[in-house]
Amino acid sequence: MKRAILYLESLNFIARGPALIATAIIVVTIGYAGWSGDRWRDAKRSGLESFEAEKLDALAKWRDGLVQIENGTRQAKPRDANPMSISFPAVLPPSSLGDFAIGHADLHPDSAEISPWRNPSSMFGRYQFDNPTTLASSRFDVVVVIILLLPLLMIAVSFDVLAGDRARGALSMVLSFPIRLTSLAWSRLLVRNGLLWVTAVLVMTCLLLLNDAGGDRYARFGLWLGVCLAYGLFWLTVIALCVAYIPTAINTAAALVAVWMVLALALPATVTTISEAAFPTPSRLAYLSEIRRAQTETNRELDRLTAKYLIDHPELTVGNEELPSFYRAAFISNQIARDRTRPILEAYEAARAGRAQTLRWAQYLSPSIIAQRLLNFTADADLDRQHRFQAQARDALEQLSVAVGPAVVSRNRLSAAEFDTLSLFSFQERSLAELAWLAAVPMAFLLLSSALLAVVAHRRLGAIRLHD
Amino acid sequence: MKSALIRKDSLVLRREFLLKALLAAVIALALISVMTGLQRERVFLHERAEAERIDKEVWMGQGERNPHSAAHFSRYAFRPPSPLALLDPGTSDFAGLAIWMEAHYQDPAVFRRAEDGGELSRYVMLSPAFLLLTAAPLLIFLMMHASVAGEREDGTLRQLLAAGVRRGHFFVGKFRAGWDITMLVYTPIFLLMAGCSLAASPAELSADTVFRLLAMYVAYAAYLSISVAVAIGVSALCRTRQAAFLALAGVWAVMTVLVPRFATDVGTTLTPQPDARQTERDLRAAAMVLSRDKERQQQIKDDVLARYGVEDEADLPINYSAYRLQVSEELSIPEFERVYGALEDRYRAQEGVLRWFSVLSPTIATASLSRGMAATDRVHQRAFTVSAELHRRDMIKLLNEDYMHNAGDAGSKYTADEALWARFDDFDHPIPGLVSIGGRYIADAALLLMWLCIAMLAGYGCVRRAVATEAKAA
Amino acid sequence: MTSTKNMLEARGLCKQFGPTVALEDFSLTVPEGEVVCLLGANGAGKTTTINLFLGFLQPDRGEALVGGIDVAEAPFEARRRLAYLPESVALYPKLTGLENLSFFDQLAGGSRSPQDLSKLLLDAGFPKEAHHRRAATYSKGMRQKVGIAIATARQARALLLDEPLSGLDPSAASTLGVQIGKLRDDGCAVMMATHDIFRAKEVGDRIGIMMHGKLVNMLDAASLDAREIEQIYLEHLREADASRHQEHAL
Repeated sequence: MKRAILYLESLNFIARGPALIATAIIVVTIGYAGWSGDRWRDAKRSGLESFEAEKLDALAKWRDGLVQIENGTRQAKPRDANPMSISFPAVLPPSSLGDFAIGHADLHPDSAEISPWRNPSSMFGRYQFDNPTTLASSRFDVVVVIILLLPLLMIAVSFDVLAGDRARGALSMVLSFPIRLTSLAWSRLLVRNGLLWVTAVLVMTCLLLLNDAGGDRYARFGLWLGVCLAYGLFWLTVIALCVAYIPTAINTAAALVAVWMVLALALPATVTTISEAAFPTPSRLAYLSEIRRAQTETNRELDRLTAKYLIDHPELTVGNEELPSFYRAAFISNQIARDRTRPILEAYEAARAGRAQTLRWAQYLSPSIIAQRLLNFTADADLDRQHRFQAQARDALEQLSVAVGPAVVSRNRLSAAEFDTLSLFSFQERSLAELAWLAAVPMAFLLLSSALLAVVAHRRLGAIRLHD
Repeated sequence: MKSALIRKDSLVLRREFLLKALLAAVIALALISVMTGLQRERVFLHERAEAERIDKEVWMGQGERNPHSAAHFSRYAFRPPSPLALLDPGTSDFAGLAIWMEAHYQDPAVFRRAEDGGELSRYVMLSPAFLLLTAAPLLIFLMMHASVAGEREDGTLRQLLAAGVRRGHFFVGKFRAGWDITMLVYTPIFLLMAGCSLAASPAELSADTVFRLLAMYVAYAAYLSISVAVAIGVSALCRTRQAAFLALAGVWAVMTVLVPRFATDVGTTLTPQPDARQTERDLRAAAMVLSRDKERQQQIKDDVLARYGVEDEADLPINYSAYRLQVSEELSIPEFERVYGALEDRYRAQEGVLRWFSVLSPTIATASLSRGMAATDRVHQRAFTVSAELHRRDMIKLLNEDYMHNAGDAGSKYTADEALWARFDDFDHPIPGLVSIGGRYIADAALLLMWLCIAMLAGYGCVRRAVATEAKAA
Repeated sequence: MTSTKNMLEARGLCKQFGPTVALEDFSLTVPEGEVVCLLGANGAGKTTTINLFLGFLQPDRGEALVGGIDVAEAPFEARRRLAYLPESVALYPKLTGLENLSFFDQLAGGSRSPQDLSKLLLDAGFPKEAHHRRAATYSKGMRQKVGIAIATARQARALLLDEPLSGLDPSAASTLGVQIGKLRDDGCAVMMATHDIFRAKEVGDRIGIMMHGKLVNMLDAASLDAREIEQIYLEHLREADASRHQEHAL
């Protein structure tokens, strides 16, 4: 029987049917998305590498100067080897699977300057140069193809697996043979959708090999495929359910398109809008205002603030008085800005946690939300990674401020030995185990709901009587 | 006969249960988008007003200070809120809201609200414009998919032909029935959303806003009319409801979801986004054009000494440092214009690709017109940044000139006070009138008009063909 | 005990759809090598009878047996012994006649070579030049002939035909009638639903007259001419109508 169905589908669907168009669409869209993602990632990587090299080069020169002053091989001017001039690069490296998903990675800062000149607001530099028109439409990455396009193609090739034959009268002819309707429906659904998914997996595997970026790319790809297939399985069972319950092809197609619209567009849009309204983040303008206030306060009360700092650090002795006061002013201003904006950042984190919590539950309303999140997580294109980078960079800045603050305020230099205890910034990635843990429950939900839908669809298919 | 056809088709459409259910869902989504948008805009307007107030407060309260130090501290320019932003937030969330008007440097607009968005915000965002651009065509396609294919499938088209119905009347009947219902639903929903948007805005209703609203209404009406014509045309190409439905679902997905995203991606792949770090380096270099050129510095000094007929800068009647700062500002201006001009060229090249893709999807041109009319597109953002830059130049010049002429013997120890700070006007950038920038939208309007004409002609052509095929079969 | 000669056997079959009685106490046997035509108007219960034998419907009472196997209990076992030809044989339009036949052959567990399949088509009177043309271009008569080839390929011992000759031109109907006769001669038990008295007389060995879900008479086709069969049929029709009017009046 399976041989017969394969024979039928190979001629009716694959050789002379919509399979060629559908597979061509998959090859072109995933292929293009991967190619364009790779170009984007390469550009990003090269920009980050040159930034990092430039900063590290400057840092090495600064240290050389300090060593020369310490060795007495160089006559030191007051501004030379000043601790305020220490500047570490902090970069968020593109993910090993970054060509598959762009997600939030094109909107947020991916580099920062860890320097006492900087405060938590200014450390990420000026990065807002992208065209807002193109940013607003989002990129066409592999996630878009998987989440939006593939379910539509699955619907297009599957909606008439029974209804088409039924309308032509071929179904009663086929079922006059010793074949179950359930076997017929599932076999055809599996052949048709299997072809689409095999094509998609093959194209993605080609991208994996062609755009190889090393690292944990292959392990991540394994998880990526798992999510894709679980999502595909969900849609397969939704289609099977509609095929089982709705006798006419037009109504099956209408219902499936409506389900797609609700699950892939309307629900994610509504969930986002409602969660953002329920957990508003503190305004960036309020953040700006606090920093401005901190700067004014420092300007007005530099002497009092310096004295306070020195009282808090009785071990300090004031060094070179020739050094301009704006070094000290800038440092203290940044410390005040940091302290003043801390509650705002905390409120921001609280709002973000609220939204994340909402989404953790709301994702179960739509498999598109689950798959979109998990794919972005797997390819490190999620919002959380951007925020973790910013938080880690802020922590690094704070550590540097603690290390150089006394020297800056007391107008002294750091020793080379003290400098060498400072460590370079390295972004702490989420481990694969964490990623797998994060994906476990939503994946289990996808699989369980698919299984449930499959059972209901199977029962219904088994109960269908052609002429009742 | 024509009115009988319109009446018949309207009746058939009104009796579609699926359509009523979907319409109810879309209206519910429209209400959610308006309610949440209202809340968002209110909060934002309050925060903006507060930020403006604090900016002025800290400027005025900065105490005694050297004017150049004040120029470094400077002020912020805040983007004016658009009264129609609720209707179409456009690109406003992805463009910076505030520009620091500091000395030496032309900053980009910073603080993009999209950076505060949630996990799914880059995937899809609900707004009235999103619903009109994506959900409305789907509803129309669902409503109209059987318009001709159903008549062919049921054989009623042949009966109509036998009754002497002309193909022109047949097309007009179908179009008017779909169009009447579409407008009947669209107009009140648009008015409701526009009303909420205006109510959320503190600005008084101006003639420009009314004109913009009218233009937006017409643009969407044209877009929806195109959708009606496309639905009839595709339906006429198909022999069965099923084929028509599937074809229209495909057209919808391609037209409203895939092509706009694909076009954006092609645009940014052909003309990549600028490397932010390189742009920052270029801007820094532009700011230091004089400080890095020792020869020029000397030449400027010589010129000014010669102009005042003195040999030492201490003998100059002006503060030379302040003079040099102002010259540096002026020398940096063309450099900044070059950097930002290159960025503008890059943006336009990307948007040019988008416009080319408008040939494949009217959604792109409509979206562009919609955000233009809502004053939430890049054209308006550019007007804001240009205006802020002009204000920055005036402000820094005034500060440098005060330093130049009043420093006297105090030199770099010279300080000014609140009397000087109060001489500066607040930054005020009204949204440019549509009359002044309307020309930027002619291409999109022409594309939409072209789409309308082609959709109508093609729709009629397809109906003609279907009628001819049926007549032959009869 | 069921005779192995009786390939198709109905025992007191009853089927009701809501308030409508589609089949009432229907009993019939069709032995191997015999064609029984069920003659009746639309709604007489002919198609319901065929659907009960196919297992597409479950009887409310009674049994439908194919080769002694109860269809309701073992529908797949029963279908292995059956072939079915509907009023309009539905083929896959993108496949050629030969490919359609190959598919249905494989569905029945066969694996005939293209040459064998081609021969089956030729035997069914299907023109050779159309073997490799897509089925979308076939006339109804051509599709019915492919249907006969499909039935032959199954080597079924029982054949159910649901109005297979309706809508065919006289020549095509006659050719198909000959093909059905051949199957009967090969030992196949044939049950054919029809409302065409003359075709029933031509093809059938026995003719069962059905009225409102009941088998009201069984005639020997060889001993009556078409006009006589028509007279008997119309008489039954009048009686049935009168009886229904009486029921309504009461």
